[in-house]
Amino acid sequence: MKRDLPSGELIAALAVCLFGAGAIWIARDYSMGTVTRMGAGYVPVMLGILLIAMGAVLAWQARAAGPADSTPALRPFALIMGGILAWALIVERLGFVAATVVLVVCCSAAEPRSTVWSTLALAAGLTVGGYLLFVTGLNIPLSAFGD
Amino acid sequence: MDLISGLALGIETAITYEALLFCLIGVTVGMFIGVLPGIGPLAAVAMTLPITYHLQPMSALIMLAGIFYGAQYGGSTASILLNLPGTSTTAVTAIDGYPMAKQGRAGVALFITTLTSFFGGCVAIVLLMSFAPALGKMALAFSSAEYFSIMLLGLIAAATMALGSPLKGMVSVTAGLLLAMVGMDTTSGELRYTFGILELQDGLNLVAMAMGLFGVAEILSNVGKPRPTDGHLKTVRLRELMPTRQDLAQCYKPAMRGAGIGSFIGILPGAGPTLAAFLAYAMEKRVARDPSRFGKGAIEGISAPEAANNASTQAAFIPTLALGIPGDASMAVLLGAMMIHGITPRPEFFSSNADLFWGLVVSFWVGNLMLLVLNIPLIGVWVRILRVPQHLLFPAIIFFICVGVYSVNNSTFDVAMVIVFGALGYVMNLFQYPTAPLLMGFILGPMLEQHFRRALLFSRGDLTTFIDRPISAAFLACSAALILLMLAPAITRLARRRRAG
Repeated sequence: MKRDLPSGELIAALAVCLFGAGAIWIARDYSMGTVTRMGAGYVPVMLGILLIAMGAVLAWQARAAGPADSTPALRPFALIMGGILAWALIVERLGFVAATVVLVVCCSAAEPRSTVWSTLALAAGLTVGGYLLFVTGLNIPLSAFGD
Repeated sequence: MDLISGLALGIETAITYEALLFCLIGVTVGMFIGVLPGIGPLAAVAMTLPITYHLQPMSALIMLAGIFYGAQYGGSTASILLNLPGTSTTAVTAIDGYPMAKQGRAGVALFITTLTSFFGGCVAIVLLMSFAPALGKMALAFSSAEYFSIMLLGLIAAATMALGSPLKGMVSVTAGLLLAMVGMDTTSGELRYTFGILELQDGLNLVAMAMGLFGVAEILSNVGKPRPTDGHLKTVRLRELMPTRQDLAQCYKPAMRGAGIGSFIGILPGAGPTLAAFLAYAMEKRVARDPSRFGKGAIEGISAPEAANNASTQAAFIPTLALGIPGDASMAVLLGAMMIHGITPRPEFFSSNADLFWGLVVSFWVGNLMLLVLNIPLIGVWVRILRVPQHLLFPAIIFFICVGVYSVNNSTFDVAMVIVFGALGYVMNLFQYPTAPLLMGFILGPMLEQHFRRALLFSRGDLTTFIDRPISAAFLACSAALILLMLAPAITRLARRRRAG
């Protein structure tokens, strides 16, 4: 990484400030009230101010830090998150079986050591076992193949 | 109700076939999940929550509590055998436990761990029995000002005593408090931060948040990474378990000190088993005649922290049950689970739900005893579980997370929230912002805001109400002391620079 990039610490600290500022900005429409009778916006705005202040201190502390040394692993991140999202999108439409198979395939792809056979075996095992445990056993309202 | 009749009631409630069965299921499942690398007690409780929905509150509570401390036990097994602590709590155990395993003394280490954990748990249960109802009685006189102050203390403790930067801990707590604002404001009925999304009106889902921050984030940080060598992972034979007379003589005093530290830390709201274990370890190192033995397989180095973390786990039930204020993040999830079952811990809990309280206490004994009996003959099974390769384990865990979160409200929206919190947790881990305080803030947020607003309503906006009441003032003084302690290094640095300049 190049030296002139801002450090990860600094970005994180600025994100904290941004989070606080966003909270205050959204709360601008909420009733503030008085100290005695606080409205819905009073406490959130106070917390937002607190966050901005702490973020500023962290940013000040971070100015000496070097650039980020840990690079996030994007591929497994995207695969696992994609698997969860797919499960959430599919399970009520195409059913438990399809959702679980897609989830297992995505998550297995994130692990370099998994093989086609291990993935298939795991998908089959989790689909059948999970269906019996959660749908048949615990009455979670999901259907195997959608409506 | 006095101790004896309470115990009698508890035995009556907890020694039934049903209660025993669910206690056994709880500790076994907890142990099983705890052994799995990367997931600790918190994720264990959150993942198994759906299984308890159809149970009676009593059975559900016994089972969840069993899962909770069972997972604590299981975590130490993974630390010793694989140097792969499931959570930061058991990371301390790995420091001396793993070297012992390398020296071929894994069996002894496991046995001592089980024994001292049991001991620590017992000490704290006695405390819980004698102390919690009294605290509950005292808390009946608490008003909003006291509740606000004690929760503030809990949050500040959670933030500043977490490992790493205390300021980052404070940021986490504050962010958690803000996340708690999402949904309908109970006082005014106004909607906050819902962005017009219907599902957000009841607030963010606790289980989705916990699973994202702890389950998914943990897997994301471990996925694709090579596992430490498991060369010492041979099955441990029963004969190898027996400690020598010298081992026992060396570990009973550390276990007692550890149990004391753990109980004390457990009672404090906001300070959990991780801190207890670290403090107990540091203490042993300080009192030892030869501190250089630590880290190379010193038996004191596993017995004290193990006694401490189990004592604090059990003692953490004291503020949780008496005040409804969880001791740490895992306790917070357990508290959420209780509320799902319609049990609201509050000072009256001990008189109005006497059977529940005493039944739970007795089930702790039973559960701890079961773990003691279970853990040892089943070590071979745990070793085999530890060998389950990651590429099978991780997809399975993600699957259980999805179904578990879905089952809370039968909502795919909640499952999608897991992604958001998983990403948040991953980024926070990357920049070393502790995630447990965030969850603490989220759980205590609504109560904290309510009591804050109510206290100021009663005092007509007079902020001195928080220091006029002595108990509230004492809590605030402790909070101030913690903040000063956090600032101390910065202040001395400034002073030194001024003197130098």
